Amino acid sequence: MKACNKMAPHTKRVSVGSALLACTLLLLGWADELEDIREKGEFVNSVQAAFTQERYLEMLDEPLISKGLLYLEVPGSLRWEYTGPVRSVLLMENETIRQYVQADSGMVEQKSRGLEGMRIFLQDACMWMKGEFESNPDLVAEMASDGRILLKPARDNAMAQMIRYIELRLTNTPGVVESVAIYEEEDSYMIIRFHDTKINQDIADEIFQKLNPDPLQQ
Amino acid sequence: MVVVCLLALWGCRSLAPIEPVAPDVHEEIDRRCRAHFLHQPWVMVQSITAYPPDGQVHNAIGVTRIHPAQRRIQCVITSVEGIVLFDGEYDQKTRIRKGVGPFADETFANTLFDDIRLVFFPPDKPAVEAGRTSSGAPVCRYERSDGFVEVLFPEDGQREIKRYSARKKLRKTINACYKARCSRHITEAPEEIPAKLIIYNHGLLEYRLELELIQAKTPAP
Repeated sequence: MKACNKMAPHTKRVSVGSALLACTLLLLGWADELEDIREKGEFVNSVQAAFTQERYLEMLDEPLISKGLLYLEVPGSLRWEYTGPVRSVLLMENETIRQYVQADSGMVEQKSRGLEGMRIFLQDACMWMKGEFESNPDLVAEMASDGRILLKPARDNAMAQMIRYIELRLTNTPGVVESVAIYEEEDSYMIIRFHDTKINQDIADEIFQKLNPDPLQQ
Repeated sequence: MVVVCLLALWGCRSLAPIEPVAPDVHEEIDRRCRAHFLHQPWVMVQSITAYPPDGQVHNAIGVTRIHPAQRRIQCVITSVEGIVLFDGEYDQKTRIRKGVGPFADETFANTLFDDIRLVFFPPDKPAVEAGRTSSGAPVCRYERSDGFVEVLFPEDGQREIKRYSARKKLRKTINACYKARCSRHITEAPEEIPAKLIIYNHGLLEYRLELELIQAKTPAP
């Protein structure tokens, strides 16, 4: 049990970092003021998008590119999938979270008990969709004058050991985020650029339930 | 019968005798062993799949810069999602710049850099023996302060590295495949860089790591 507890915070933070960003897409897409978020977020029920992730490291001349798909539906359904170079699928529906990772035998479900911690954390994060920032003491949100949203870890919390801040750039289209940047150090950061974003379109339930839904909506 | 089986198993995991070869063949094998270590700097990106003893599977991505001349290594391990889990370097000694959870452990970092050195850096001293295994594979044996290292060539395009303790017990086996098809991420690989590495840790903590090449480049000067 002690060993599980030791692993849980790490597992939780890593996967939740991405899932958190997915949750923020709904609420931050079209607000002029941070206070508007709660009010305007009521009109967005679902988001689906493809994304390209650029991982910048001091060692690399060019960023390492990963690609993936995002599906998000209010109140608490999420599919956050990396399609390459290493496939990884995070599924969340209501209070159930499953993560599939690539093994030599194919995709396998990760049985880590850390997922329980992740479930609690994601429930917190999805409260943001309602503009309830105070529900999560780990991140402090503020809006820059140019419209960027900055999310900074509260001082000395666990997340502050991993990231300096998250920056969201918004498009002019309500509900559509252009990019999310996560800064760890000056020369170590990543930018996730979203494209082919669709708002308020029906998403089949199995997208949030199955590793390989048929057909996977694009 | 059980005792015989156990003894046989134990024998497989201990340093086996090397069959001597003619002096010219000895030289050729020694040269081949050394040729497979890196001679110029490389930056490589690999997917990492870890199979720890608890039956779990963990994925990560590793970025490694190797300077053979200075025997210096820099390594960053990220989650598949891109979050940095480990950032450290080896330059005569291990330095952890950033480590999350178990990746902050110095033993982890030392083991990581020792594995990288085993695969890519030539041993400090010349081979104490070179010849063939009982199955006929060319093999070189090196002595180091904490035991022995063997470099074998079980078949074309494959290299195997075995590390033994000072008491001659097998502690680590690394299989390196230099054929591009060994990695699911690439269609061609540089000659010097293994497309896939499989690392087996033996002993009390048995685990397996599989590293598949995503890209490899010589860094800009």
